[in-house]
Amino acid sequence: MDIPLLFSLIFALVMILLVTGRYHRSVTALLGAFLTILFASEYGLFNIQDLWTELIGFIDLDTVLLVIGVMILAESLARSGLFEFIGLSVAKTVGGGFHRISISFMLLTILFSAVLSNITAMVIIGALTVSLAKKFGTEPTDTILYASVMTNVGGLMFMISSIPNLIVSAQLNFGFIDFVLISMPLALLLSLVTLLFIVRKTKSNNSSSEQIKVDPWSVVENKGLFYRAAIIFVTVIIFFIFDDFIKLPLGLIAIGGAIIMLVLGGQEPESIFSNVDWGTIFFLTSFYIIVGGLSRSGVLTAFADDVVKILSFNPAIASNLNMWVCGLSSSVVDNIPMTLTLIPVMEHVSAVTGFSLKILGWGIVFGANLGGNLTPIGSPSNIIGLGILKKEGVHISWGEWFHKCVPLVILQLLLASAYVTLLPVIL
Amino acid sequence: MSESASRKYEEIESRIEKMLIPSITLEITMPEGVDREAFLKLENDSKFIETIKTQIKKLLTQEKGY
Repeated sequence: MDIPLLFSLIFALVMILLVTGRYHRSVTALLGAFLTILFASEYGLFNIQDLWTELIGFIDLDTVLLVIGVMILAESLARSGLFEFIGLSVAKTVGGGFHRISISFMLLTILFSAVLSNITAMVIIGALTVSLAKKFGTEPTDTILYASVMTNVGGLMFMISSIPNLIVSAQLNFGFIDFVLISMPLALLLSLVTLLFIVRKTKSNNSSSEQIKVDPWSVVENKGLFYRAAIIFVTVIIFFIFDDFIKLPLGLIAIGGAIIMLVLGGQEPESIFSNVDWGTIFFLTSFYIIVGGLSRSGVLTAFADDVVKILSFNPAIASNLNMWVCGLSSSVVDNIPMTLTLIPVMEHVSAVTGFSLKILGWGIVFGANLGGNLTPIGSPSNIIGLGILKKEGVHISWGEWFHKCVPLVILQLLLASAYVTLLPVIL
Repeated sequence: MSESASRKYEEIESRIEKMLIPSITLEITMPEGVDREAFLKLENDSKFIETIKTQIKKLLTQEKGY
């Protein structure tokens, strides 16, 4: 059998299973990795004598450790009650009824998703919103829907804000500051535009000026743990920021911070480990192997050569197309495989055309983060948001999602597209 | 929504809700000599719940009430 065709079929099978959701995404990726290893060994693409060393060579350990470290840190920080404390403090300070609080929660969503996983950020914002809506006797639907969209805008803020950011940063050598300098202006612009859109679309149907009479500290069970977790997290962020001077691998900083958090945080490690999303780690590592098989079989180079023919005339158009392809595909399939697959393709495009790999890489970051909002299943935070509403007895159809959220997401993607076009001038 | 996210959500939501809208759950066994159906209906009877709230307020604001 034609070898590139075989590995293309394995990739197509994995993507079909991911889109249909037939199995858990980690199981699908493990199956794809297993088939890749089996056939790559059979056809002599992988060295069977030294298979494990070869497989580890495909996996970017720094990225994997970075993801694990950030997950442990974020989980410990979330358990300290810091985010509920901030949420209740904001609700108490803003006052003036549910509409006003929900608008301030949109900004809070961006902040939370910038430092937490989108899932955790959405769970916390969802819980705060639903409880406050009950308190004010109003509907949380619009706030939850728009918060789902906002988590993905927050996901653009920092290198640690989403897994595609971590993958691109590690593979294209973006430092923490490099990332912030390019991503933050767009994230702030999108936040502002999105907020204005939401204020226009939602109207206050609750004019209550009831003040929240609750002590935000009451959600913090252990103040010592609260302060320790916050200090360790901030220290790790400072290390990320000064990584250009410290010269330590980002994965080592993250995993080091996670170990210190486990030692000093005073939380039950078993319980933290049980809440780390190991499925994503299996998914990520398995996909590195699938991409390794695609690369060895020549599929990626052949595909990249075709891409070069289409994209070779202008770096801005190349990056724009990259962003839209990544964005549209991320609306139906997980953004991790798209990111992992497109990076080697863009490396080849950059090598052949001389276009800046960094500019091409930004197209992947923006598309992968924002595209997920195009459908209710495109991003984990959308699924969580709709799950929360379902628990509250509200069913949101695809039609309603398209009606309420898609115009906003298209607007975000168009702004990101304009920004990507300007990048060759800025960089 | 995955099982772990759902669990995490319920845990946080019940904690915040308890802070914002404090509530207690009581188990009251049926007193003798009352109609079973009428007794069970009290659980969702808003007038009954309001009466209990008034009694609680009286008990907690007038120390001698205990």
